[in-house]
Formats: sequence, structure tokens, C-alpha cells
Amino acid sequence: MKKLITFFVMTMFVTGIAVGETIPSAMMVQVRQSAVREYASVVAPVVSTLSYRDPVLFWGNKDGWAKVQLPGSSCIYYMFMSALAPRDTQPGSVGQAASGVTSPEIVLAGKGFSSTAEDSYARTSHIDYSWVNLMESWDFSSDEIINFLACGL
Amino acid sequence: MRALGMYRGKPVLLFWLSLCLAFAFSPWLAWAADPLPDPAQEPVPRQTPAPADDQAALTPEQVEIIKSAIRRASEAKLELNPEEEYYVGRAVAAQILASYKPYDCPPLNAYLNKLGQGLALFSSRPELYNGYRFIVLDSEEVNAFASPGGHILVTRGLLKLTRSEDELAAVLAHEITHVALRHGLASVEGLRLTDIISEAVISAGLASGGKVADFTTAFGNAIAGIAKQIIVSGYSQAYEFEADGEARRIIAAAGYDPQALARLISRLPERDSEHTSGFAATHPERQTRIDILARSEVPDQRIRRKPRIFLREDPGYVFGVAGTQQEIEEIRLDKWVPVTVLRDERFSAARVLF
Repeated sequence: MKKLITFFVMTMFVTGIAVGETIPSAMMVQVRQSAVREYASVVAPVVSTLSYRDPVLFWGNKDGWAKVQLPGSSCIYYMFMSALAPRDTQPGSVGQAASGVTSPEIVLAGKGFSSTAEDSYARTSHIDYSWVNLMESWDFSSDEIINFLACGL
Repeated sequence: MRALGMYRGKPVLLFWLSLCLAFAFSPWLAWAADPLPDPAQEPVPRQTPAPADDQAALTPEQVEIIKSAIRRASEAKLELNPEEEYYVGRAVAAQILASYKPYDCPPLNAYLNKLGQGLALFSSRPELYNGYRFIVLDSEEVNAFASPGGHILVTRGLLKLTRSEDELAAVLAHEITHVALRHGLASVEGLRLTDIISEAVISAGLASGGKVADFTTAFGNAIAGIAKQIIVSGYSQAYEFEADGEARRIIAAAGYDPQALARLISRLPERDSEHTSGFAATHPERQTRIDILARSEVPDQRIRRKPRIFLREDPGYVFGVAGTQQEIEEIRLDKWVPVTVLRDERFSAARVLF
């Protein structure tokens, strides 16, 4: 019995070290849309698509792939590491401005770039965004892209 | 009880036991202590554009925050997040499209986007805020532009120089790398972007209590600086060599011929006094590029996917797929073609549109 308990303690010790090395951290999606894949490959099936600022639990990074857990799920999936940012990198909060500019907008405008600045810029500089908007409407699914590359179709 | 009694005199062992248990379950404890919000239950406000009131005054608090942001950004190299970079990129792309006429050819632009977006998956930054977008410019000049947010513009003149999909992939991969490695923002005339923005903001009178319109001036000045850098000056030689090396890796990973870039470079116009714009003016000498490329190694990271063999039935040009010779025999398709042949056929069909 003593041996059994010692074995149990040692097993827990080793497990503790192994698991403790990969303590997860909270991260969020920093792109508009990001695919969550079954395994770490561009040809892996897409199990879900996350949106900007959706939270994930980050378990590690290897070769540009982030190992993640989604809220309400116990499974581990994979996303591009470049799509994630630490959860606490939210824009600063200063409350709604009297000028009608939102808090994140103020922080962005502090660097000079925001959707509000863009609207105003487009009006005053007479820059036409219609072709840029058209470019952004050319969307292809993940399957279309992979079939194009890997199958030549 | 007997077991516990046995360890009564060994508190150290019990301590280790509890420590191990706590350590092993710490991730779940952390998860329980700070659960991730369910997006459905706790909607996070999106960055929807607020109605712009150009003449509305900023509060002193806001002015202080902006000045503080500029101060902080000036102390270190400016790091735009993907969303900010996207807005910069949109404006720069719009500026380029004001100088170059877009080529209104939906099938060609679709072809370019499928190829480019596929290649981007193998870049060091596969996902941008709003992805990579490609468009053909209706110009005979041999040139291409990579706007910071992922908008990539390629002239018909450059497309006409390509002789295969491998070479076209090399061009796009080179431009994708400029975006992925943030070359556009990092090389604004050797200045830090914050210098331009700070100067513009200060000159707009923000320090004395600015208005939303002042941001527009700052934004416009910064965009003009970046667009000028991309269109007229180009990137530093170091960035061009870096983009060449990375482009070679990307196309190899995507299953294209890694030598395609060197072949294309050898046909680019030579850098001389006659070329004051375009690739020849903004890129290093072609032999230097080829020599440096030849010295770089290409890791074997090709796309792995089965099936790798593709079948074609006549008549009707119907494609089928099979992974092994046995499968080919079982489904009794008597002709097969490798993916490279399909790519060649696809490129030939697209080339007439250049």
C-alpha cells in the first residue's frame, strides 16, 4: 500500500510539472475573421470561425500555430498565431467623448488612424475608396483557396 | 485511514501531494477564477464608426490622452495594431488607385486573389485584420505596390513579364512579404512614423485644444508620407533582399518552383538612369538579387495534402481525384495529370487577360 501511494504521489508530481509548464493564458482575436482548425495545417478542416475580439484560451505556440481552447469547449484546436493578441491589449478607456468620438477611436486617432478619421479624410481629400471597398469584397472560402493551390482547380 | 495514518508523521510528503494536485489543476482553477466571457452573453462593443463631427471640440482630458499616446509612441518605435494598420493601408491603397487606373477584369482579379490569398497562408503573417487583397492596375509600367493593410496592387506590365504561375506566385509572395514584415510602415524615409504624426498633429493645433478635423489633417499628412515612400522611393535594399528570400520560401512551401523568382528577376528591366519609376528604379540591381537568392536555402516545407494526383476524363474535361495508383485503377480513369499541368493550363487561360 505504501508503495502504491508513493507511486501515486510521484505520478502526480510528474503530471503536475508537465501540465504546469503549459499554463494557459487568455487571448483575443485581433483580426476581423479567423479560422479555427482541427489540426495545425492550412489544409485542416475549419471547425469554427472567430471574429474580432472573440476570446480564446491560449495553450502554446509552435511554428506559427497557436493551440487554443474555445469558450464552452474542452477540445484543443489550432489558429494562426498572428491572429491573436493578449487579452489585455484593449484600447484605453476614457469614456464617450463629447465630440461623439468613442474611446477606442480617440486612442486610434491619437496615432492618427481610425474609421472616423478615414471618413473625414475621404470627404476633405476627395480620395475615392470605391475600388478599395470593391477589393475587400473579393472573398474566397478556405476550401476554394486550398483547392486552387493544392488541386489546381 | 490506515494510509493516512501511515503518513501522519510525514507532513512533507502530504505537502508535496497537495502541491502537485494544485499545480496539475491550476489551469482549470485559473479558468474557473477568470472564465472567458461568452460572446453571446457579453457582447464586446465593435469599432463601428462614430458619426464624425469635424468641428466638435475635444475635451482637455482627451487632448491629454492623445498627447500622451504620441509621447509614448515617440519614445519607442510605433507599433500599430492590425486594425490601425488596416486603416493606414486602405488610405494608402486609395492614394495609389488615384494615381494608377485599376484594371476592371473580374476573372483576372479573382485569379490573382485566389493565388495571392493562398500564398499568404504560408507567409509569416497569414492573417491580417481584413486579409490580403489583390488588384491589377491598368498600366504598362513594370511595378507592384504593397500597402500596409494587405492591399497589393500589380501592374499589367509586370504580369506580362511572367511566363508561368510559378513566376506570378513569386511576384505576389514578394509583395506579401513586404506587408507581412511591415516594411511599408518601417521605412518611411528612415523616420519614425510618430515623427510625422506628431508634427502633423502639433501643426494642426491639437496642443491648444484640437478638433476632429485636426486628426484628419494629421492622418492625411501621414498617409501622403507613406504613399510617397511606397510609390516613389521604394523600400531599402535590405528589405528587398529580405522579401526575395521570404518569397522564395513561401512559393516553395505552397508547392511552386522556388527558382521562379530568380528567373523572373533576370527578365526585369535593368536599373539605369532611364528608369526613374517602377521596379527598376525602386529595386536593387537584378544580378545582386539573383546572387543573394542563390546563396539562400529553401527549407522543404511543401504543402502536404493527399491526393496529389489528379485525373482528367475526356470528353467534357471533367476532373476527378485519386490518391494512389490503385485508386486510379479502381475508378477506371485512364488519364491523369499532375497539378503542375493544371496550373499551366490555368495560367495560359489567365495570361490572355493580361
